[in-house]
Amino acid sequence: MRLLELQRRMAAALLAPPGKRGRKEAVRLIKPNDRLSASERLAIYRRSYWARLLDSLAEDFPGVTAIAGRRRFRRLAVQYLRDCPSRSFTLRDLGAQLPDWLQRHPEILGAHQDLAVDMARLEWAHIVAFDGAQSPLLDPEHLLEPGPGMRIGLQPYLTLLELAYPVDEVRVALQSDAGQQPARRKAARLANPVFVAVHRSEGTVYYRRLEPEEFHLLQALRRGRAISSAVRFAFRHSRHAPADLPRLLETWFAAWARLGWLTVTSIDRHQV
Amino acid sequence: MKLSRHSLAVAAALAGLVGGTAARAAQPVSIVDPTFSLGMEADEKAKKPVEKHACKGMNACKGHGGGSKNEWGKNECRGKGACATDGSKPKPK
Repeated sequence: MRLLELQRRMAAALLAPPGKRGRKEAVRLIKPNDRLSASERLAIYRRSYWARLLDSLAEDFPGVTAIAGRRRFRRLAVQYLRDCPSRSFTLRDLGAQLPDWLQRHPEILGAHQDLAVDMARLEWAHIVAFDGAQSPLLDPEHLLEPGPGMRIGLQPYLTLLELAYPVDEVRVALQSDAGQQPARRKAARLANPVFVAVHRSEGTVYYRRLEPEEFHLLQALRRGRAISSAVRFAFRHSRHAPADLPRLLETWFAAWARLGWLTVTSIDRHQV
Repeated sequence: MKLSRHSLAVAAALAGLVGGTAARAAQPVSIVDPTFSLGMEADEKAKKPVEKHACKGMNACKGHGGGSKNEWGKNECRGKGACATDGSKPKPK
């Protein structure tokens, strides 16, 4: 057997999901010793690998774990990792596809699927906010001649979420609630759409509620619309009186700038 | 010249942008304007008070600079309370 083939077979045996028997392969690849058989020796490493993946996923998604329950989360996690195996050098990326994967598998969580998908989106955004990249901040010198055609970008670590359930409150409450049932009960009781910005400040992650227009305006800016166009888009179905717009916009832009959410993309003073 | 409502709104947005950017550049990030909030702190665990003497019985205080300078790095602060992890000072003898 060539080294490359040996390495591939060894990797396949180690990474095989729990429950899959690999006794014959273990016997081919590994010698037994006086205490353990070949498959027992292999199982030590295979179990350690899977235990680490499952622990890491549960640690990153405590809210989804609470909604699903520990046992069901474990089954769900094994199924997810079979479909979306770790492809990154870091465990940080392990759950990147969990929100979309949960969305595609309504059979797994049944009536709690929408709640779990919202929670998974929030918890992935939490990871991105914690260690996502930071672009250079918008500085006063970038604004010497601001105009309505100016385009501004948003920090890569900032995630904007439109959620059917107030999972931000639920996740914070989970930190103090020992039980898991309250997560589902509380969210179901409070079910109403919310808009949330997941961001960080000085190394701490925050969930900041947004008004619908504020959310749509930030989304439009992120998609590259110029400020004037983004304002028009965000307020097209607004409940706010037109007279309130200047005050709202001044407050929001000032707050986003203070929070360090804004970055420069390009400045086109002629485009409105 | 007659300004449209939209122009006024965009002008206000730009005013906020300039004001917020200048304020951020002038003040340390930690000084937060009370007129806006950061939002809910996501990890309440971070707020938990540090347990007094969290290293008790673990010998984890070794080399961390607790106690007097003569004791640094020697783990001789063990049992003396000088390495209090909540920042408190040992009672004077």
